[in-house]
Parts: sequence; structure tokens; C-alpha cells
Amino acid sequence: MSTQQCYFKSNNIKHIDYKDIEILRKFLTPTGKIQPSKRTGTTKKNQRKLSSAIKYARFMGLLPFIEA
Amino acid sequence: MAKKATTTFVAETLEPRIYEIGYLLSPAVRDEDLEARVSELKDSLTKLGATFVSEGAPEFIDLAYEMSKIIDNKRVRFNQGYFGWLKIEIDPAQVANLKETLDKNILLIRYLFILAPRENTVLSKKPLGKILKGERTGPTNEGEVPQMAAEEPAEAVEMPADKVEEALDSEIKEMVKEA
Repeated sequence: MSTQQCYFKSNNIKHIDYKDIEILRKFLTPTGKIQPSKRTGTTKKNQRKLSSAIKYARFMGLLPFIEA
Repeated sequence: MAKKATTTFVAETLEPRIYEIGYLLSPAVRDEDLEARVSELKDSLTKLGATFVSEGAPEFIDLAYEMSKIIDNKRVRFNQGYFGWLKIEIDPAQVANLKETLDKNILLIRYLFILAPRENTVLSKKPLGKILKGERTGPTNEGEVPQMAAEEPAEAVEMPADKVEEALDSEIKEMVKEA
């Protein structure tokens, strides 16, 4: 079984910023949904931070809620 | 009977905290007035005792989806806006007043008020304006303020191909005559 590494841990990112939309987009599906941690390998703690950051970015219109 | 000791939460005793305000300014704001509008916003925050830690200059961006806001009982829709952010240090007791002042600001489409670390946490070096292609495309928003109308110069209007050729020919003839 292959073990995936958490992107944020391996890049030593301690705070996930909602303005970093290039990073946040990596964790979205083509339709704009947040990918599960099972798929991306992010730790539970970072997944919570990531989902908050994505939701902040969506609220500010930086990311879409759904992609057509 | 002895009175029970009441434990009340006194927000005033808390130490100042670092907050981040992300804001979307209306596209009705002209580029030349942008600095003045931002400084007005900052002044209103300093009046409440906020000190600025860092800031991100507002950039014109295309919004990911259409937003609407009711201004003077009229629903105004926005597809573009200026996105900027401010990191401030403020007493938590003043947060309610701060939100009230931000709510009153008509030029703000939306704002986000969150706790943030002091240091800069943005990793990407590319500005948001470039990522989100903030280009003015003219007044596409319904009920937009008339100021926003993109004033295109009359010269920019395309001429039909035959007229362009005629104009060119006449110019060339004039040049030949002068020579």
C-alpha cells in the first residue's frame, strides 16, 4: 500500500492562507468540490485548515462554489 | 445568604489580537479614487484604535461568481471588484464596532474578518490580479453606477475594410504630391 505524504507537511506550510488560490486549487475537483484527504493525503488537521481556507476564498469570490 | 460570585466575561481585559480583513471594493470606484477610498477605510479603523501590521494593495479581479448586494433598496450585481486585505492589531472589545463601521460602508461588496498570524502567510508570488485576470470589460453589471462606464475613445471604433483602404490611398497620394 502506498503512503501519500501531506502536501503541507512536506512543504513545511504551517498556515494555509485563503489568498493562496493557486495552492488551494490543487485540492479541488474539476467541478470545484473539496477533494477528500483520503485522495490527497493531507493530515486531518491540515484538511480542516484547508477546507476553512477554501471556504473563505469562496466567500470572497476568489474560488467558485461550483465550476461549470 | 452570601451572594454568589459571578464570573463575567470582560472583553476589555483581553490583549489586542491580530485580525485580517479581506475586502472587496465595488468596481464603481475609479482607479484614481482607489487610494483615497482605501485610506478612508483605514482612517475609520484607526479611529477604533487599530494599528496596521501589514496590507495588500487592492487589485482588480474577476469574481468567481456573481455577487449581489442591496444598496438603497436596489439589488446591485457584481462580477468584478477590487480585492485587498489589511492585517490589524485591535482590542477584541472593539471588534463589534469595527464590524458595524464596515457594514455601513456602501463601497464594500463584502468583507472577511478573521484571526490571523502576524507574519505574512501568502506563498504564491504571482499577484491575485494576474491569476484572476482582472480586466475591465465595461459595464456588464446590472444596475451599475454610471461612473463605471468604460470610456472608449472614438478612434477605437473599427472602420470597414474598404474605407480603411480609401483613407490609406488618399494619404499616400497626398504624401506623393508633397514629395
